[in-house]
Amino acid sequence: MASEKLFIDRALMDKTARLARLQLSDDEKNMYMRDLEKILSYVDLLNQVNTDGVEPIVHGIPQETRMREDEPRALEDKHTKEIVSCSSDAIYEQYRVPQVIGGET
Amino acid sequence: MTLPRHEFTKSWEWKSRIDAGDISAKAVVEEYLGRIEKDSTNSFISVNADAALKAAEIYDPAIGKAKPLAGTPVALKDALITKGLKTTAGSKILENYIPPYNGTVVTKVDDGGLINLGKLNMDEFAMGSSGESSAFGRTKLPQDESRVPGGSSSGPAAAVAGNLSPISLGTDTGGSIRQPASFCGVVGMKPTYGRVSRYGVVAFASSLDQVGPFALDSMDCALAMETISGFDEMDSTSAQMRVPAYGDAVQFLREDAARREKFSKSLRIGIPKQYFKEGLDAEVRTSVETSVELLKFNGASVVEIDLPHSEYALAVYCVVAVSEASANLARYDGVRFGLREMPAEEKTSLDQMYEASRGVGFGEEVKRRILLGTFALSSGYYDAYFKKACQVRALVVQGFHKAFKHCDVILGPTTPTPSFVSGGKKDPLQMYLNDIYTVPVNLAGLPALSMPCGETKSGLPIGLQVVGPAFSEQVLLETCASLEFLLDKKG
Repeated sequence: MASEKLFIDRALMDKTARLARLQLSDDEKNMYMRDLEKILSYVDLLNQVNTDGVEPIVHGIPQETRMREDEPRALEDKHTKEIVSCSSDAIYEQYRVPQVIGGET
Repeated sequence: MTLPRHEFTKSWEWKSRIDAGDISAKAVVEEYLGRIEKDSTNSFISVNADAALKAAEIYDPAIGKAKPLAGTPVALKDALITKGLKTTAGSKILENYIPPYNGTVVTKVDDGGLINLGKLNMDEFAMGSSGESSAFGRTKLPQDESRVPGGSSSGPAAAVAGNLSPISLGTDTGGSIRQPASFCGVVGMKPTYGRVSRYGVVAFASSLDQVGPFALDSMDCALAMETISGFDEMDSTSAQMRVPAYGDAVQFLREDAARREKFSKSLRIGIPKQYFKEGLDAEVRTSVETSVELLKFNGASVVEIDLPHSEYALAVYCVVAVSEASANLARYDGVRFGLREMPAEEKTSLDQMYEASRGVGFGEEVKRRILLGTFALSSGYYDAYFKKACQVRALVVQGFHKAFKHCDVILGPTTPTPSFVSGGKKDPLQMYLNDIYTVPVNLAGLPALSMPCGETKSGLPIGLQVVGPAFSEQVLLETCASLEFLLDKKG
């Protein structure tokens, strides 16, 4: 972990917002830059802990990943219809999005 | 102000009256719907009045008799996916989302014969500790509407405390059941990770989230736990463990003085010295200490325990929860469901559509946490933040394991303070500090409950947290039942 206080400048904020796919106003960016710095400087508390040789964990209770048989489960036609109809823009049971191929990416 | 559990009818009381033919399920539902209509706490996002009345009308006591809560009402946090019933997670991005399926917990509630009164308000995507960050307006504390009911399960706690539903279900990622239960003066339980299925729960942080009940007493909490617990193949982290008869355990304890005495005398209570340091409100401390003394007086042994890394747990949570959230919330892209926002430009790219939909659809706190999580997982920072946090998490878990060698349950305050005035905590970090005693439990996946143990001089409820080893829910409920008995006797 960085031992010096992390400084979040505008370029880092822009990059993070872009990675998060979030459109933010200038005011929002200014606010979040300050907030993130403050919260991350609190998180720097973790530097006080010696974690040499400690295995990181991602679950509190150790568990094996349970696998199921690799068999396809058929979806009824009406379910496809119900699922696709949750979209605000679907046609012929397919999602419609801005042009991807041949357009901007 | 008196504790509501003394005044309101519990679900088990309704159940015996319904089964005895004293009152119909429909009359009970009508009574609650009438109160919901006049509610001023903003506990509900949507009321399921017509369907609830219909379900109550066709309820057959002869069939429902065998199920412990059949025929009685329930209300659900709006993070639980309900087929055909709007599920918003308190967010504008899901404002009009009507799911095509039921989550497992909702199916279990239906199968158990409970009648769903509606969907309850919450902090957006369960991110908040005050009920103020909902896109549908803040939830108010029933006892004093200028104050907050806690969060993120603000509606579930306020609905039970305000007598709008005898039981409700919420979710808890860092304290979101226990903290509002504490603020509202009701019982709230976060089960062991894996005890209750997460299938069909709007995800916040998948390694921390659990569904659990709010209730007026230990008996209702036990019966609700029995209804919602159990293995589910649709959740890959669901535990293949037998579900004990929690209701019977609580009832035996309530009815049998000898059993109560035996339980108290065998109970070993651990008191973590780290939970009674500066920052703890004096009245909260006194109430919690009085409860511990009561149990001790009745035979329980009390030992001081050490949870050496508990002071780092909140910092771990600040990284782990937001990292998982940033991945989980990537699904809200405006394509398959939820709000879609098209930028004004004539030629819009897919990315611009994603960014606009998410920028408009998510609220301030959700964006803050997505940004923080995205940052912690980004190239160049991953090891420094995410990996480090996961290492310290391992130490927090080890601390609990060591502590439980010396005690059966850990007792302490649920929150450092009672409910605060709405608008009083503008600084995000100050808000996160509300969860300082509850967060470590989620990191370790342990079960815990909050129960009312007193009030401040101004009448605000105070909560006691009871934490146990994995899958020890029954011991927690028995501890709760024992202490309820002693507190009632004390008056």
